[in-house]
Amino acid sequence: MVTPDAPGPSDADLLRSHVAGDSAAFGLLFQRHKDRLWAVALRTTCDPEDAADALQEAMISAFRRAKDFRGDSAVTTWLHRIVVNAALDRLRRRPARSVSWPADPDALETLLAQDGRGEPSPFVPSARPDSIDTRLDVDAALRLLPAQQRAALVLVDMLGYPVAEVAAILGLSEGTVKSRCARGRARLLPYLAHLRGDSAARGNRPVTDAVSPEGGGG
Amino acid sequence: MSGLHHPEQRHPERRHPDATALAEYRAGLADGLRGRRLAAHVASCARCASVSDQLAAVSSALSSVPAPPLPDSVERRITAALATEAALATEAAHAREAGLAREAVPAREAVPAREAVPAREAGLARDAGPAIVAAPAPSKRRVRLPRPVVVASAVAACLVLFGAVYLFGLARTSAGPASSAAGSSVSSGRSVSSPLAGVAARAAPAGSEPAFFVTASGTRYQPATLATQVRAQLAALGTEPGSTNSGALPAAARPSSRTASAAPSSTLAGCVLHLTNQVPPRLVDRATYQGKPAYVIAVPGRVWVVGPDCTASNPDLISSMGL
Repeated sequence: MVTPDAPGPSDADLLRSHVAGDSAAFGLLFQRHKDRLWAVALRTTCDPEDAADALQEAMISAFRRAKDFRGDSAVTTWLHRIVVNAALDRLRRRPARSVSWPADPDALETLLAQDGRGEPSPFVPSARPDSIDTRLDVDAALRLLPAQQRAALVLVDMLGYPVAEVAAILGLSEGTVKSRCARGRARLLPYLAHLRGDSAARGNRPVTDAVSPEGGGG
Repeated sequence: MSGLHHPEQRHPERRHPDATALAEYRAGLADGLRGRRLAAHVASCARCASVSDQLAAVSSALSSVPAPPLPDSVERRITAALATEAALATEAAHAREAGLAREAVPAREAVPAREAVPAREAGLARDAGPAIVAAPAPSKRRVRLPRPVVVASAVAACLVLFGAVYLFGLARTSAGPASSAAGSSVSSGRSVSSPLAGVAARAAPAGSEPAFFVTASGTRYQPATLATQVRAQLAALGTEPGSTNSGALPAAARPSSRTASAAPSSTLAGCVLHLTNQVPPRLVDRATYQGKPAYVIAVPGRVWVVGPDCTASNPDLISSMGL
């Protein structure tokens, strides 16, 4: 799991240096993985403030617990685990004080459905296959998922980690990870199926058909 | 597949698997007969084949959203927090090597070290948890402590007990709700080691300071920045964890010249020491949190925010987080 384009010491080297008292080593480790860890925190919490808090807590925690790292997983796996746990922990504590979280997921579903996109059929496609809309839709839809399901789906589908690694990060069996992802995909189907990713539109349903529902039969 | 020609082929609207079943099938989770049936169904049912395609589209849509880079502001904040951690760790290491030997000399005669260490460790471990105790407190180096550190830990343990005994005195005079918390701490302290209680009692007349002081920094604490703001306050007070060079009492016990500070009311003292499990706090700051009056209380590894009417029996806890 050493980042291939990162020259110099490996993650494990940096962590060892940190434990040995090198005051710069952990900062380098953070620099090396900050964007991925941020993505994990942000996608798991669905809230930039919570994500920032979670990431900071996680990094401080990792800093202090580094000497307990046994090396039975990759350093990145260990870091991811700490970040995911901090994010989930933050979500558990959030309902008492949050305002940014949609109080009622059903309300959001209704909103999305009213937008004419609650229809699971691929033949009623979005007229706006543009990436900002995709991002907004994905952001909104992810909030519909239970946190544990979202954590798994975010790691596998959004960030592209192998199931085996996600299982190691989350401390679950691979079967459980697959199951959570499958349920999450099914849950998101009504909201995201029309998006189809960037240019991954299927060959038998060209985008030109998609922009004009009425002319679909033409 | 030829052996699996089912009625649903003739009546495809019946017994369509739901999206979850199809998603599980796609994820390789449906095996045996169920898997074969699903495979046969999807192969022969246009509608379910379409749903299956849409499930692929969901994954594709998720993967198409680029991962946003870490915002600069967050990066600066975390980098600063890590730098603080690194400085504290260095400080603690230096204190262990240099400062402790100096303090150990007078302590060696007065304190029964072997009994004192568990008392201190129990007090911290109960509250702080294993994750947060790493760098700061020298006494948490559980494994094969060099002797000066053991003795210094004993000093620290003694001081914790001293604080509790002092509080007990406060609480008795006020007979407020604080008395239960402080009283129980004293009794637990005695059960750990009665010689220590004797040492603390003898020390009491000499040091007439309360267990901690309350600052009024006027900081407007906010949830997102609480940890950072607390660190800033700790830095302003010069209360580096593990720094033992400036005297016997824990740092928050010393008034700072830079910030207005005062001895706590017995009610507040009861509240604070109840929350900290009798560990003298590094910071008790009268301030605001989300615009409302609050006390912000910090020990190594944890911060509490409580309302102004906090008591030991009713802490009025607003927020709490690991530090």
